[in-house]
Amino acid sequence: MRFIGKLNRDKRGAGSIIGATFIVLILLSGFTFYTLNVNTTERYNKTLETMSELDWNRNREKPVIKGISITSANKLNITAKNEGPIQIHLIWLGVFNQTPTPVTQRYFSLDNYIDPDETATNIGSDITASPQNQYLIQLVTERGNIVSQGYPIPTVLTGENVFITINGPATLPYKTWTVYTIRVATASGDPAPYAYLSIYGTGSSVKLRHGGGGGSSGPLYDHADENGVYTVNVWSQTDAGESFFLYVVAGNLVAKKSVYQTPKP
Amino acid sequence: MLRPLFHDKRGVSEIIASLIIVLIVTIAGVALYSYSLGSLSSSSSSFQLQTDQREEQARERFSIIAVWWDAVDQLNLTILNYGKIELAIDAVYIDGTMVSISSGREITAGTGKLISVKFTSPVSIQDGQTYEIIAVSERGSKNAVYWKA
Repeated sequence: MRFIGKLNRDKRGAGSIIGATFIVLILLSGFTFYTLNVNTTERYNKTLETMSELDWNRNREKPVIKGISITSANKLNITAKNEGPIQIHLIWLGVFNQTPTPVTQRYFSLDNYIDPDETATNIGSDITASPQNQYLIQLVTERGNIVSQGYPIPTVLTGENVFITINGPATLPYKTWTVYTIRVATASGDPAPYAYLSIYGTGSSVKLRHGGGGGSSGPLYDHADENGVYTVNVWSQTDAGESFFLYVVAGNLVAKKSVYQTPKP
Repeated sequence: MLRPLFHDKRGVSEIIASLIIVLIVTIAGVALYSYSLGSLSSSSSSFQLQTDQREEQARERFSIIAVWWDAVDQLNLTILNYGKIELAIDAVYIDGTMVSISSGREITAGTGKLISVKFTSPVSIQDGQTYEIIAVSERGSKNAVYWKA
């Protein structure tokens, strides 16, 4: 009898032990999965934070190409300034030769660090280039920013004083391409080579073109040649005839020429 | 017939009965626990896998930095990987039309490296026109540029 009573107590004990074991296992498993998932989520959130920081820093970068020249040994010499508040790491230099058709694009590896407000010179000094060619120079930063500049850099920039003359007939024959020559000079009277120009005709049917093609009714954006000269072909086909202005903008100066298009014969 | 059975003191002893019950409960418990563990494990693995994929995609950053055109129909995209993980380009679309990439597809590029993707445009390229070019990575990230021929 005493033996049976002892067994009964043991039986209850065995049940409790099994129950407790399962509870402990369930709690442990639950905690393990919870910890794993929390760790995964935390890692993901940390990655998002890191990438947000990258994007934020990317937006703060401000590299500027201050100058491009080609040395007498036909080597590139690029001057770049960091106008942003954080250090910049330049990793690629793109040199696009725009003289041939199609253009050629080459990329060269760089490893230049530029501190805020620092100006770096002699970038790309081991790259051969010809001063006779026109290039588009591209600097690429580690954070993915790109800054581009054409070579040769126009000497007339927005804000500088220039003189513009537009030479061409005051009367434009109906439906006839007519040449107007634009000359751009600096304030000292010297030709302004490669000056950027915006040309626009106010007539209702005016088209502009440089060289061949069908022309465009919108503004023409281009640059003068090495002597500061640019030729534009003007076309107008208003049946009743029309007077309009031909506007040319370079630097901070606007020049205009009054043109009369003759009526349809 | 039943009467002797109820009054029969012989049969399965309490110890054996208890052991059998304990065994049954234990086996049932283990089975239920294993099943639950398997389900939880599967669910957790799926969550981890999805999060890992999302994390990898979040670490991707790339940009089309140059478009070269041969003046006919051949195009070459230069793509910079500036993210925190290597990537490969899987598809390119021009004006919404998928192109057939002749070289540069599925080529892995590390951080800070350039990928050159060449293809023949399925869309007729005309000088002065603007085209939307979209590059898609293997993880599904996209970068679009509006390129003027």
